Amino acid sequence: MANLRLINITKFFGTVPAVSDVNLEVTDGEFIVLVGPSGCGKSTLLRLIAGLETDHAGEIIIDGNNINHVPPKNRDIAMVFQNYALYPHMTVYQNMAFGLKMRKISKEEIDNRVLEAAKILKLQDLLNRKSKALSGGQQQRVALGRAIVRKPKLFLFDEPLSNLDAKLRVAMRGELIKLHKKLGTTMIYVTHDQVEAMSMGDRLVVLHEGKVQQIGKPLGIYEHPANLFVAGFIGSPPMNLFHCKIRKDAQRFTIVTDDFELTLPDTFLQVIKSSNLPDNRVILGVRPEDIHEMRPEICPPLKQQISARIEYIEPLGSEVFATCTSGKHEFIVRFSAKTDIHPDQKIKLVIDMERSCFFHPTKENELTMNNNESGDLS
Amino acid sequence: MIRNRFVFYKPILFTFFIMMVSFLLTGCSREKDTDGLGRTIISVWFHTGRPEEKQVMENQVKRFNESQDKIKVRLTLIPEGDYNTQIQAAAADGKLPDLLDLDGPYVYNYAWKKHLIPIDHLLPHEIKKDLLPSIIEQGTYRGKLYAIGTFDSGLGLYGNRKFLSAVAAHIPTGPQNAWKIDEFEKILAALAQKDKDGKVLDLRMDYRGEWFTYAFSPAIHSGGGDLINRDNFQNATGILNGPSAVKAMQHIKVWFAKQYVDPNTDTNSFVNGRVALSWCGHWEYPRYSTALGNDLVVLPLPDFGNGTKTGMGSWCWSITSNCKNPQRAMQFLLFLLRPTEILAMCRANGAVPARKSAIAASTLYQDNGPLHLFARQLEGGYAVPRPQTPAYPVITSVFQQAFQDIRHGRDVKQALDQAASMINQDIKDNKGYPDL
Amino acid sequence: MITMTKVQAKTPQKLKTQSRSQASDERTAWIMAAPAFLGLLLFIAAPFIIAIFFAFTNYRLGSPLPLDFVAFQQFVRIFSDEAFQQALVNNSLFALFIVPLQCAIALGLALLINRPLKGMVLFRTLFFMPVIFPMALVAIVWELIYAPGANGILNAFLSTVTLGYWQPLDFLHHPDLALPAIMILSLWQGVGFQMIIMLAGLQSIPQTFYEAAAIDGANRWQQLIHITLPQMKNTIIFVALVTSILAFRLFDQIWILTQGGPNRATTTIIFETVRAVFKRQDVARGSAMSVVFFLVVLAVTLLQRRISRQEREIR
Repeated sequence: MANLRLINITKFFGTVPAVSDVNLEVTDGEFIVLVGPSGCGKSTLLRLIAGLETDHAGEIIIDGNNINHVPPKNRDIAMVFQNYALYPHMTVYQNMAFGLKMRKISKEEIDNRVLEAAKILKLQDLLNRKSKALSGGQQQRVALGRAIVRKPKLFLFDEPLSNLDAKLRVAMRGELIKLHKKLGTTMIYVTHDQVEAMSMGDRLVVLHEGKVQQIGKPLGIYEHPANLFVAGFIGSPPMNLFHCKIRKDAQRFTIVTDDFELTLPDTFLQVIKSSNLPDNRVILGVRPEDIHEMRPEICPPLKQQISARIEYIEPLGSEVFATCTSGKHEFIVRFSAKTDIHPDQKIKLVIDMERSCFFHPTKENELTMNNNESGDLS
Repeated sequence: MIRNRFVFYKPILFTFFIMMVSFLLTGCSREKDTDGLGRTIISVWFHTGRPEEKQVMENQVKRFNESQDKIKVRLTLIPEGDYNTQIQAAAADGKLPDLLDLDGPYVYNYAWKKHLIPIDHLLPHEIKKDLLPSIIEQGTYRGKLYAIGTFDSGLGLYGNRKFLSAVAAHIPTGPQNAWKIDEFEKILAALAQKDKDGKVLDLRMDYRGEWFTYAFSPAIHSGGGDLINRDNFQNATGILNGPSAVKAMQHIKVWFAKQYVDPNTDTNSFVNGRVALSWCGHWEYPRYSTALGNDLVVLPLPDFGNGTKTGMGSWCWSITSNCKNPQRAMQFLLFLLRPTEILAMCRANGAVPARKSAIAASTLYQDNGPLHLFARQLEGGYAVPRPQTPAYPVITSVFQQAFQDIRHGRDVKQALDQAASMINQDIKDNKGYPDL
Repeated sequence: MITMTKVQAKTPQKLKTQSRSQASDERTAWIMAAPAFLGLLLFIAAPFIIAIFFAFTNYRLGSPLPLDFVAFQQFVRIFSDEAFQQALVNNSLFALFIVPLQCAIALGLALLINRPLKGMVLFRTLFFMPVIFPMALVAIVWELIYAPGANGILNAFLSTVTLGYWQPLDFLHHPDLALPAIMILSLWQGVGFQMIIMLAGLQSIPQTFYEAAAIDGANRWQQLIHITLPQMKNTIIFVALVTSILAFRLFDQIWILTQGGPNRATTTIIFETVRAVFKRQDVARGSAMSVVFFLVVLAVTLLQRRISRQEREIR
């Protein structure tokens, strides 16, 4: 059970900064996911916390103690590796007991803890097998077991599910969430898979090029990405982005593109006015599910409607993603599965402007947000 | 089309294959008997030890080839280390040259195997008369002469006069008054007492192989024993392990046990003045005399009871059964036996000239020469040939082992018992080496 | 109809050329492989079969006497030959000491050298260098080191270290020290080779095992015991096998330095074989010895295979 604080963590590999100036506060029992594309520094950050990488600037503090110079074995952490790193010459039992044996814990205690963990992870029948003879999913569970028996202050996961097939991955995701609930230990989890990140984390830390892009709850980040990178990275398919201009006529502001015009809702009036937009340019971000088909029977034709053509569709069963074009613009719209659409169909669309985001055209930050943590406000 | 191509290729491939195999199996092609000028080609193999010897040999071949127009000698030089192995291989393969030089005691084995031919009838009587008796003795196998050396070897004790006079040892003037073994051992003890590390005798323990038989079988002879019964060369038991041989070897063992013997790993024990006596051959004279000057004395080996004995024999020439024209091969050998040629070779290697006339002309070996003792030993019957039997390679190998074992403290009787029984076993395995 | 006949006419022909070209492929393959097979047959299989054949005869090098079959007489003789018995004992002793020692030292050196520090290439080269020296050279160097008397390098060194208490020894002629002396020089000469193999083995152990172990609380020593050694098991077995075969092949050092002495304290199977054949021209006896040598090496190999197979089954 532990709090973790990272203060101004910076780590260079040669002259290349792998992690720069990361600040993070993790409260006891939290499930934090470090997410970002490969090479973003998330694994390095995790390995710094584990003590497998050293020589960094900044401070790593667990429960108020600076552990910068504490070797891994004394940090009271457990780590699950991407390739599990099970000792192939040991049985499942020996793998799980190894960490306890090294800590000179009594044989009885080791036995109790291993059996308990085996029960939780349904490994009872495999205890005497060599770890080499196990399937990927079984190895994964042993790797978890090896971490659990230690009862550490902090669990670290380095892409633990990426070597599993899709179905097993989804199942293990659920298992991990349950496990976290049950143990209540602080967990830090690294993944490049934003779906995994969204579904598992209490909070996400989005990393890009060694820098923290945004920290927040999954939904907050989804709805209010702090910048264009997060908007593009979180959400599948990603947020649609339109380069627009703001036109001011009388009392209203209108968002103008070459192909369509949209009225700016009053809620954004203030922020648009106060933002210093070069040439009145702005980037409009809209999630695919916030674009709807305009049906005459529901609402009367509006000026803001977009005439579009469906290029191709991706039916996913419960929903259909349609890639549409309107003039030069290409964007993705989510339809419910029941909607009758087909490629080459002409269609009228409307945007739920209240749910859209606006980004600075050059600084790329979201206009409504003043700080990185704003997604956390909810 | 494909089939046609194969029909065409097949014989070529097959021929190629056969050529490759036959090339592998036969090795090089046959040599011709005559050269372009119609001269008979005589192929000659010579071992190369020291470079001076090689130089003389090459000059001799050149002089011979230029001196006449009937024979052309083609010389092949083979390093001494591999020499015997090469000859064994060539003999087994039927590829021996016309004429070759051999390490003396190996002659009998080759003669028995009929790789060599007798040459008595090719040797003019006046030359035979002029040769040292030792040359004839060691070249003769079962009554026939198979090999003639152009030089012989001398073996004795080199002494450092300074050390010897310090213990007031009498200095023998010739083989007739060599040190008796008791006297010799008293001198050793006296020398050892005055010596810093007590090691006063050099037995050339840095040498290997044949040295042990060449140098120390004379001790056994001097004690009244032998390596084998020389009546019929069929039996070593009771001879090599007889009481006389055992007693002689026992003396040598004691020298080792009393730490008189310098291991001489650096080969310099005598020239550096670490020891007073060096049991060695004629070949070390130049080095020893340079180092000691007038302090060097050349002495006979100690007398183990039956008078002093010494070794004999060195490299010698034989004509092989491969030779198509023995007369012509002999012409070259006779050329090498000219006193001037003998002296040329002996100047290079320091050996005892094979002819009395050459000895008389040799500054080293003539009557007042510093190494006259060696010539006298060979002429006066003090030298004993190594057993003239095809079993000699086994005898020497077994004796070397026995000597080494005794040196390292093994019981003399046991070591010689085993050696004798191994020799007898070999003779039995070869059905007594019957004449073929 | 026309197309039908065409197709029918074409198919069998196509099949035929196909099978023909297959046959010719095979033939080409045999022709290509022939030189290698021939070499293998001529230089490996044939000599060995001939050696087995000779072992049951009285064959002597170049002997003009007729060849006799003597059944097992040569084997009876060599096994009642003191020198050969001692050779078997010496080879076994040599293997018994040198195999564990050389493996341990090679592993130790590999562990020391397997660090990403500057200059490690230099050390690696230095340790490997004796392997490429010819044994003749190595033996001469060590003959000087072991030289008897107070001036011998080792004697002088020991005398200095013990402040003069050391009494100079003649190592290579001492019945109890000659074989250990040979062992030490062989170890020095050969250990670089084993070290390189061990190094390759070490570098194939995934780094994450060490990271996992570090987090599990294992210190360096515990990592060596619990990770490195078990992971190196197959490499070590391989190195041990190669070393034991080399140990039974011991010859060059003996030939140059001790000639099997003193009193057979350093004689070996191969040394006895070479002596029998080249000194005494007794090819039959030498053949019998080399057949025994082959059987010993075969036994060692099979033993090793059994051990490593058990290991694989458990996994």
